[in-house]
Amino acid sequence: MNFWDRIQKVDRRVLYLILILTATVPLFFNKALPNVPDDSSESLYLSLARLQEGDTVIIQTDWTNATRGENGSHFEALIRALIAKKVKFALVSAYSPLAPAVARDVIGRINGDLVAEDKQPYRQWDDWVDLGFFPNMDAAAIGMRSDLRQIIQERKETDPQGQQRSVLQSPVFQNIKALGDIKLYMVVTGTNSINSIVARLSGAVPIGGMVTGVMGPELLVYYDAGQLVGLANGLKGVYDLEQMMSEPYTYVSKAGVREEFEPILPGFSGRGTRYYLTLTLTLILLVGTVVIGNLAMVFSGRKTRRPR
Amino acid sequence: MLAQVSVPPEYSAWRGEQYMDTGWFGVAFTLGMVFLIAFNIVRAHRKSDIYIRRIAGLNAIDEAIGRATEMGRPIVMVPGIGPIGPIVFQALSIFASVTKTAAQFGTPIRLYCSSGPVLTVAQEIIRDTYQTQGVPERYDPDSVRFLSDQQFAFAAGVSGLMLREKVAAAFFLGDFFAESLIFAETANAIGAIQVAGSTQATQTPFFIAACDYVLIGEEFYVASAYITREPVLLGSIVGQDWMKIAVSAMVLGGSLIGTWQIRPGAGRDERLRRELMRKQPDLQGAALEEALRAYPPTEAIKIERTLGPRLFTQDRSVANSLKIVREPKVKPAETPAEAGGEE
Amino acid sequence: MSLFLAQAAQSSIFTAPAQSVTLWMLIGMAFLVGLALIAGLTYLPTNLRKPLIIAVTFIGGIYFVLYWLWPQPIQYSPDSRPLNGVEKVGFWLKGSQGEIANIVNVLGGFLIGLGVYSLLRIHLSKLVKQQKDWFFSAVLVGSMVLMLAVGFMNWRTTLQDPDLMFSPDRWTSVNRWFNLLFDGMMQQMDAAMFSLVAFYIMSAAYRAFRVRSFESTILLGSALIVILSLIGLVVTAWDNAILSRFDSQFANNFTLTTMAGWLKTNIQTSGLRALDFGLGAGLLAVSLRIWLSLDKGAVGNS
Repeated sequence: MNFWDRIQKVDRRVLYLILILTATVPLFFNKALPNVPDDSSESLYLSLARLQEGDTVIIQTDWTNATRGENGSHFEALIRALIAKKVKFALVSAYSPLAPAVARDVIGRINGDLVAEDKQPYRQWDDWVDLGFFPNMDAAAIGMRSDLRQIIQERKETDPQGQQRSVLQSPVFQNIKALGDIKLYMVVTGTNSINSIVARLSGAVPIGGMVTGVMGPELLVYYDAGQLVGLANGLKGVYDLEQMMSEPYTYVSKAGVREEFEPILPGFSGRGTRYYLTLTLTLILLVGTVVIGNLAMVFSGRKTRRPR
Repeated sequence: MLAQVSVPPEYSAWRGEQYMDTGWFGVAFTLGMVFLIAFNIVRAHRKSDIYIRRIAGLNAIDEAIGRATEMGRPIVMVPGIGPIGPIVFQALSIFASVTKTAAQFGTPIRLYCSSGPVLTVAQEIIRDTYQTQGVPERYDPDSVRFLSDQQFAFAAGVSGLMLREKVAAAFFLGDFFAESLIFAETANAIGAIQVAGSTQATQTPFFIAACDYVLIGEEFYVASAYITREPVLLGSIVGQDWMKIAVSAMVLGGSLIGTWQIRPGAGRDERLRRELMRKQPDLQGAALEEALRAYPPTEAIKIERTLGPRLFTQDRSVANSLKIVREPKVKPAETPAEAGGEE
Repeated sequence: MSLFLAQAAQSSIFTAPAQSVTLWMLIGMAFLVGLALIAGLTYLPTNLRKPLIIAVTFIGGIYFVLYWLWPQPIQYSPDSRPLNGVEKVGFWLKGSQGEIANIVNVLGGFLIGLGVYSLLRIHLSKLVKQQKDWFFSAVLVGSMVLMLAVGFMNWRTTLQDPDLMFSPDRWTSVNRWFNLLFDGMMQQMDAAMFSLVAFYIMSAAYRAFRVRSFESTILLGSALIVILSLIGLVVTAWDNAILSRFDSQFANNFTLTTMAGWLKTNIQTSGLRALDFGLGAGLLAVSLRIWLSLDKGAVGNS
């Protein structure tokens, strides 16, 4: 039995052990790696960077702890960017009743960081509101398109005086008459809940997506067709965004128009940066095993075919 | 009293604009597609020799059942983790034909559901299948089970049961998400034959990598017609094909029209450019482009131009700014001071 | 008079105030009607069952068809009168949506009960008869009961204080137990199960990406390009190597960014679009057959 035979027969548990080490050890290092942002991430960055102070954005947060690695990082980068740009936002959820709580936890943590840096925390009611869980988002989206205010008027939030009032009275929805006044509808999701938003709201409001790597390919279809203004795809998408947001960015359109953006979060390095090293190493491991597996198949004595 | 509607003359209160809300073209297109299917279902009753190409995944069903029967081990079936609906019904009708064969040979089956409604329907269908096969005594009520409605708890449950019961064949047909690979790899590890198909396009690659036979895309919907050869089902398959031809023709036509629209010198951008150059002839190069960006005749075009051609804007704020005055259903009570108050 | 009307408009089983006599009366009436309905259905002759199922399916379906297709009233408010016939139907559809959703939810609740019953029947009998793997059944039943009990007690504490779960300093032992079971165990196990996918992807990729035939070689090649395009280190090195050596538009075609971009936008998205169209067509056809009860298959027969 030569070397390649032994490789062919390697126990898959050995492979799993190597994978565990590759996926966990790099988490302890925070190293920024060179990167070329995807076209879709760049478009998403542009629609975020073009937001103005006081604009209102709706964020559909459809993720829980199972996809925290990707969606949690998306959400955190997004919220930090919106806070830095003083953009107001409203949260909605369609996927799970747990999702609003998970999202509020993240905002609470970011506010903790802001307070620690002697900055003003982002206040619920004044700067953001939580519209809660919509069990039938398809119907809610149709309703939003025809009359946003009617759909959300029943949703209550506590104002600074401790009174429960309709979210419509909060500063977040002060200047919002219809869905068209919302500057961006962001969907952070690990499921296909974004599909019904694209189907129902496309054309009425710019829709952006922040999705897991598995959902990405399917949603590229919508990005490609212009139904999504941008798409952050998996961890790579987070890293793309974090990198573009932390530095001054110049965008040159095809017509030659230059747009220069100040860094949204100067010197920021978030979860995307921390996890990207892990992603890089596990992908290298994957490519490596595929190459070695093929070499072993070619060079080993017994050229087995997978039974069909 | 007649209700007053104060509406700008060019808009009507409910006509037209509201159809744009749901997208009248989408509605018309859907109705057209429905017509194609209905027409072919009617047609299929008269024409019986409709040909469907061979589908390897469906031919494998008998092979899988045969193997399970030989080995005396159960067959496992999972109709996805989606809510009750057409996809689950389709999966269950394929499982009914699997069960039909299994019932004849006395091969044990396991059907795992992730929601109460699916369980109820699945139990009905499986019990019925055993009855129509004349072997109601072979139906084991515990063979159709609810495990959990939590995605990964369900995945853990199904994998654990497959490992412990050493199933010989596994059918994963329906709405599968991230758990697809967990199922497929577990079944692969115990050497079961797997026939899989997901209506989630993103999960199909995972099934292809790990399963023996995969129903790709709409093959899943063709399955029951292929197995039963019912005229209604065959007709609807032909209708689906006509639909796809119509969609393809639209794609082709759209690309041709789109190409014509963006020919040199055409299009709204070009028109605006010419208009601006006429007004300010001294602008050139990047300065012209800059000025063009800030030269939007309407809000809608401004949005479209900032975001590029990605966005087709319907100006909804117009419809929503309409003042519609309706009579109240119930006249407000004349607030009798503390009427009937028991203080 | 007008006060009475305002009252009458509100008193449905879904809107009656909690703990009120009206609500209990309505619940009692609904219970009796439900019992009568079940009895009626049980004694219904078999040849009448099928038309009944067909009728109910059709009526249920047509509500949602109209709900999507009928023009939506602009600035709908439940307390105003419709302007005309079209709006009247639109108002009715919109107004009844909440109650129909409630009916669906209640039905779903009952059916979950059936699911739990089936689960408990299987596992309790296993436990009582000490069959093979009874230990797993004990774990299942035990954790189910524990989670139900703690979840219920926790819910009781949050009734008075909705923000309790976000301020751990005010937690009692019930809240801490709930946190341990839900956040500490269930959520973590959920994430752990999901992370297993990484291992399975590894082993599936190891088996699938082999140079066996022409097609599998193409699959391997395109997969490698897309995977490598996700690794920033490789992309920058590759692209720089190409662009620094060959300074031409043509060479740009061979950068990793361009190749992966081309594969994604031209091969992958068009393939997915075709799949999605096919799936949409199939879904529409199946839905239509179910709605009109045209299926002679297993579902139609039962």
